[in-house]
Amino acid sequence: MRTTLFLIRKEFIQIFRNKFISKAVFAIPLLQMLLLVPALTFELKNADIAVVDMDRSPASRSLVSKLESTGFFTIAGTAFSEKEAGDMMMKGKCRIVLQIPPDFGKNTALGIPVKVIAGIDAIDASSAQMAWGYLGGVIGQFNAELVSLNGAGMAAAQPVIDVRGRNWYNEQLNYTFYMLPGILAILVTAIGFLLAGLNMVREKESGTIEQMNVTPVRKYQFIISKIVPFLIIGLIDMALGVSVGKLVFAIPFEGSIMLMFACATIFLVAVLGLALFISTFSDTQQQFMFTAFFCMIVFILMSGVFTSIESMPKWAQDFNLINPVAYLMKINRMIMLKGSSAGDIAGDIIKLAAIAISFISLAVARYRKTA
Amino acid sequence: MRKKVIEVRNLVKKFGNFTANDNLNFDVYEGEIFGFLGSNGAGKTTAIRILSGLSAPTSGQALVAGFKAGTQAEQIKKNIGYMCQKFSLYEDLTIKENITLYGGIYGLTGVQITERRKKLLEKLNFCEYENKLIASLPLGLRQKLSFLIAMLHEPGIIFLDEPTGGVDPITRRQFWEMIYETAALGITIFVTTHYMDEAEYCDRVSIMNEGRIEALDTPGNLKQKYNAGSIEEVFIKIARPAKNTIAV
Repeated sequence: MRTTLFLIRKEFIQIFRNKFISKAVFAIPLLQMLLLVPALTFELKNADIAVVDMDRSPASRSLVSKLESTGFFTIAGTAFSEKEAGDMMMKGKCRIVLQIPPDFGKNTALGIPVKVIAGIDAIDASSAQMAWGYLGGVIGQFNAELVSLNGAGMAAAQPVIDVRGRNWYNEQLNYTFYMLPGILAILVTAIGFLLAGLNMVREKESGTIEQMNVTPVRKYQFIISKIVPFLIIGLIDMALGVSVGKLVFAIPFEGSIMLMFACATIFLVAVLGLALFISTFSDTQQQFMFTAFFCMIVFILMSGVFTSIESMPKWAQDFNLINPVAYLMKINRMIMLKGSSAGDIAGDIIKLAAIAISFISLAVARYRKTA
Repeated sequence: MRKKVIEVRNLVKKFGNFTANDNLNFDVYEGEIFGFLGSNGAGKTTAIRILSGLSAPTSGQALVAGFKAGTQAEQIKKNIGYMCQKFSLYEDLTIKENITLYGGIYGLTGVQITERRKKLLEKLNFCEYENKLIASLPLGLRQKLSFLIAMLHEPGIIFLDEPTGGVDPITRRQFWEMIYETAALGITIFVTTHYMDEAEYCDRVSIMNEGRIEALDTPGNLKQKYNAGSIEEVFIKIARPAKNTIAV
C-alpha cells in the first residue's frame, strides 16, 4: 500500500511538472464541451431551398413565404428552369428544389388538384428524411387551408382522430440536452484512454520501466499507480464538464450526481485497463496512439452518441455489450435527463463493472516484469 | 573459503534458434569486484538480465543471493541493486524525488530515506542541489547518482551494466573509487564494461564470446596465460578467432 502511494505521488509530480499536460488535461475538456455540444446537432435548421416558381401568382408566393416562415427553410434563390435549379443543387447552393407548376394559383382556386414537385439532396439520408417530413407537413397544412378556404369538403378538414403528444424527459426536444451527456462520456474516454497508455509507453521508451521491473514493486502496485492519477483527473474533468453543462447550457440534472460519478469511476477503470493492456504490447508511443485511436473511434461511434443503438444491426448491438463507452453514454443520459436511480440502471452498472474487471485483469496479466 | 553469492550452473538462454548464453558456469564471491567482459552481442546483457531477475533462463540454474533466477526472481530483486546501461532515473523528477521514490519502493521508512539521502548527497558534495531535476545534470554525475540510488536499500550484490559508458576519464576514475569503497563494505560488484583499463581494476574477470565464457581468472593470471601485456590484449586474442569464423 505504501509502495503504491509512493508510485502514485511520483505520477502526480510528473503530470503536473509537465507544463503542457498539466494545463491541457483541464483546458481540453472545457473547450471540447463549449465547441462540440452546440455544434453537434441533428436539428433541421436553415435547409436551403431553390424555388422554380413557374406560376408567379399570389398563391405560389404565399406557399413560399409559408415555408420560409417556419424557420426550417431558407430560400436560397429562385430559378427559372428546372435545369438552373439542378445546377444550384450540384454546386451545393441548395438542398431542396421545389417546382411550382404554371397555373398553380388558378387551379388551386378552382379546386383542381395540382402537383408540386420537390427534389431533395439525399446524401445525408436522415436529414433528407427530416427535410421531407417538414416540407410535407408545411405543404399539407397549406393544402388544408386551401381546402377550408374553398369551402369544399368541410368535413374532410375536420380530423377524426386528434393525437396529442407529449415529449417526456426532454420536453422542448432540445438537442443540446441529448448530446451533452454523450459528449461528457467522450471527454472522459479520451482523457483516460490516451494519457495513461502514453504514460506507460513513455516509461518503456525512456528505459525507466526496466529500472522499475528490477525493483520488488508488484505488478498490481505498478498498474494501480498508473490508474489512480488518471482516474482522479478523469473525474475532475467530468465535474468540469457537468459544470459547463449547468452554467452554459442550463442542462437539467434530474438524477443523483453521486451515482453518475460512481458509474464514471467504474467506466474509467475499464478504459484505463484497456489502455494499459494496449500499452503492454506497444513499444512506441506512435504504435500505442495508432491502436488507441482505432479503438476509440470504434467505441465512440458505436456507442450511440450520434445514432441510436436500437437502430443498429444486431451484431453492432452485440458488440456494444463489451463497449464501455456505450454504457456510460446510456447511463449519463438516463441519470441526467430521466433521473434514473441506481435500481433502474443496475443491469448496466453490473455489466460495466464486469468489463472493468476483465480489462484490468488483462492488463495485469499481460504486463510482465520478467521477459 | 569465501561465501558464494552468485552460482551459475549450465545456464542456457535461447531466443528462438539463437543461443545468447551457451552453458555458462561460474561463481561470484562476497565482496568481490567481478568484471564481466565481452564484445557487443556476446551475451553479457542477457546474462545480467537473468541474474537480476528480469529474464528467466531456458535451462540450467543460477542462484543469486540464495534465490533461483526465474522462479524466485522477486526475492532476488529485493536483495540486489541494478544500474542499467541506459540511464534510468526519472529525468523529470528532482534528485530528492528520485531518492524518495526508490527508497519508498524498497520499503525504507521516512526517517531512513532522509538519512540516506543526506549521506548520499554529502558523498557527492551535492547537498544544495537536491531540488535540481535529473535532466539538468551532466552525465557523469547522473551515473554516480544512479549508482548510489541503486544501493539505497543496501543490497548485498549490485549489478552495473556498462556504468561508465560515455563518461569522462576523471569521472570514470571517481566512479571506480566508489566501486572500491562499496566492495570494501563486503558488497559484491558485478560489472560489465568495454573499457579494458577498468577490467584491470577487477578482482576477477570473465571474457565472453558468442554466448560462451572463454576465460575466467584474475587479470594477472589471464595476462600470464595468454602471454599478454594487458587485459586489452587478452580480450583481442579471445575475441579475434570469432571474427574469423564469422568471415568464413
